[in-house]
Amino acid sequence: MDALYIGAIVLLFGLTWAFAAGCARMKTGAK
Amino acid sequence: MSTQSMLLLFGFLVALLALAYPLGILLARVGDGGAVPGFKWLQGAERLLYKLAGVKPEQDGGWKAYAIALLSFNALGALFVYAVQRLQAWLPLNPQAMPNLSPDSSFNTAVSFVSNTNWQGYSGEQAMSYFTQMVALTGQNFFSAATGIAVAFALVRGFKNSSVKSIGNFWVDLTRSTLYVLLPLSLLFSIFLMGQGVVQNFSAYQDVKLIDPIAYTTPKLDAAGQPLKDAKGEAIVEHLTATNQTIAMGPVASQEAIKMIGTNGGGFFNANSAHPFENPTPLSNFAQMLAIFLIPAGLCFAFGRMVGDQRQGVAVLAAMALIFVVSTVVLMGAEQSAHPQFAALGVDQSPSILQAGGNMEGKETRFGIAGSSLFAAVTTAASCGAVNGMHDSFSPIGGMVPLLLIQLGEVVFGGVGSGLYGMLVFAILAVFIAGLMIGRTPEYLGKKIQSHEMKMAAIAILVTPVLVLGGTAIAVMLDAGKAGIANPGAHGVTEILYAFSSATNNNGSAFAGLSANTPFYNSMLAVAMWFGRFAMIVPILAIAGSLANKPRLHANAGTLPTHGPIFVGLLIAVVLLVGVLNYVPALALGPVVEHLQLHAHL
Repeated sequence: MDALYIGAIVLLFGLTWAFAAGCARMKTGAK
Repeated sequence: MSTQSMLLLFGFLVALLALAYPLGILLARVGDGGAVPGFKWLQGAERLLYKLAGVKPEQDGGWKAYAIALLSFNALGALFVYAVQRLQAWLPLNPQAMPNLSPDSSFNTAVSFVSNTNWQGYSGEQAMSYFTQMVALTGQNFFSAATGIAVAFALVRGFKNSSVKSIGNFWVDLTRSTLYVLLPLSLLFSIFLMGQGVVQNFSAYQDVKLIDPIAYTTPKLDAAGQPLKDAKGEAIVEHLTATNQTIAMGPVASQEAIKMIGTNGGGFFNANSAHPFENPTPLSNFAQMLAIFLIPAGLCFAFGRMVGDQRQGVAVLAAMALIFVVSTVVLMGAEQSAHPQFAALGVDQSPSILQAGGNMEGKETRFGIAGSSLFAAVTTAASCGAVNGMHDSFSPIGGMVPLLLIQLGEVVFGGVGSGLYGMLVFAILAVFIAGLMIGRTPEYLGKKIQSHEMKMAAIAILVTPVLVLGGTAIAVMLDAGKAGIANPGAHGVTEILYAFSSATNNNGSAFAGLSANTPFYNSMLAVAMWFGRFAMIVPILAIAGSLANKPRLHANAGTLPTHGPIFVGLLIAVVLLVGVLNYVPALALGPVVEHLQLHAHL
């Protein structure tokens, strides 16, 4: 179970990182 | 609304303004990066911390570097808090031999304290060792508050800076906010609280024999800790008699201070600020309310100073204060009102020297309706979440006000830092709408508001309603979501809506009545807390980066003034419209229906 929840924290971090990258791409208009 | 309530509200606002203004000057100095008056002796410690951490304070990589540093720091913080809870049985400072917490509860609490929510599915004195309380939870109380201040500083620099990439260095903002603001204020406040009677020790709990045995009723729980219900869906209660009481101890004052100053709200004890060891006197109650609003109000003054126009900060503060006063008057009035069914029976419910009148259920008896109602408004207007009364027992309208204050996005003073940056996003939306309405160029503080800023502002504003309404809808559809409801019907809907509103907007107070320490709620609310915090911060940092890169234009005849009463009115209207349009249908199913039911039974 610990691996599941530690993985969940890492996943939340990864998704937010990807979201930040998406916000940055919206600024530059990069495809 | 009683005279006592009016005097308390007036005195509270006067004291708040008197304290927040000088704090705003200090905060502006902290944000500007120079020496902080009175704290030059701490500069050596600041430099040492940078050296130990390998931080180059002059290094500045723009908003993306800022965001990555912030996200990494907070993710590591969540892993640390999770690990401490899962290992606490083998760690020191555990005189009650508390076992390790369950994985799902540890996950929820880790995200909760990192995101400045401090939603508590656990009961502090029954679950957490002193080590966990001090090192994991109190530590995050400081860091999550400092993260909020850092983001506010970054956004203000976006307005202040001209044609540069820079919005600051996250590590510097984090360090300076903690070192020069949060630590000194917490130290002073914890000493004050100890003077009032808040305990601060490492003693084991004390068992005492009661002078008079106490008979009480409590909900009967199943093996999973969920309330058992009868055929009608009503909670089954059991009748018990207590002859002994265990008095919980602990290092409370040091946690209580930052709990309030950092708008965290996570209580050392389950009863939170209704517990006499957390909030012993009417004076400590008043001071705790002030502590909640102190930095959010001070940051408005700091904002004005940092952008070089104090009037801008005052305008934002005025908008916050007006919404707060109206909300508080409604809340206090609702709780002081006579219950219609008692009134029909001819029961005297007017306040007098012999009785509080109104609705005393759920209020802290030491502080009365005024002290509990004002506390409820303060703690939900700010994203604190500490409570000294049970919001579940408020009247339907009285309970709806805290819920709506949370749903407005925690921008009415709001959280430490998050209140200001949330309100500034609404200010950007307000100037954009004003520009569309009257044909003026959308500008705020000399910065053109263009499509990228509006896209980011829209994301920041829409993240929370999507999570709140989506989460509530899922919970009311699933058995796992409905299982935790103690009061079926409209009130039960409100309990779930409140839980998701509180988690997503990082308030952390509970409506109570909902048994949320289950794998379902622990997981769902943790996701809501994380994205409610960080999926809002990311677009706000993107706005800051984009604005910093633009030249700062001088005001001209086509510029909408953003320091006068018209803008204050516009800002309030935008905040209320967005909040009301998002949540009215959901509120209609909960507190509005309950209010109508109350009167329909006459």
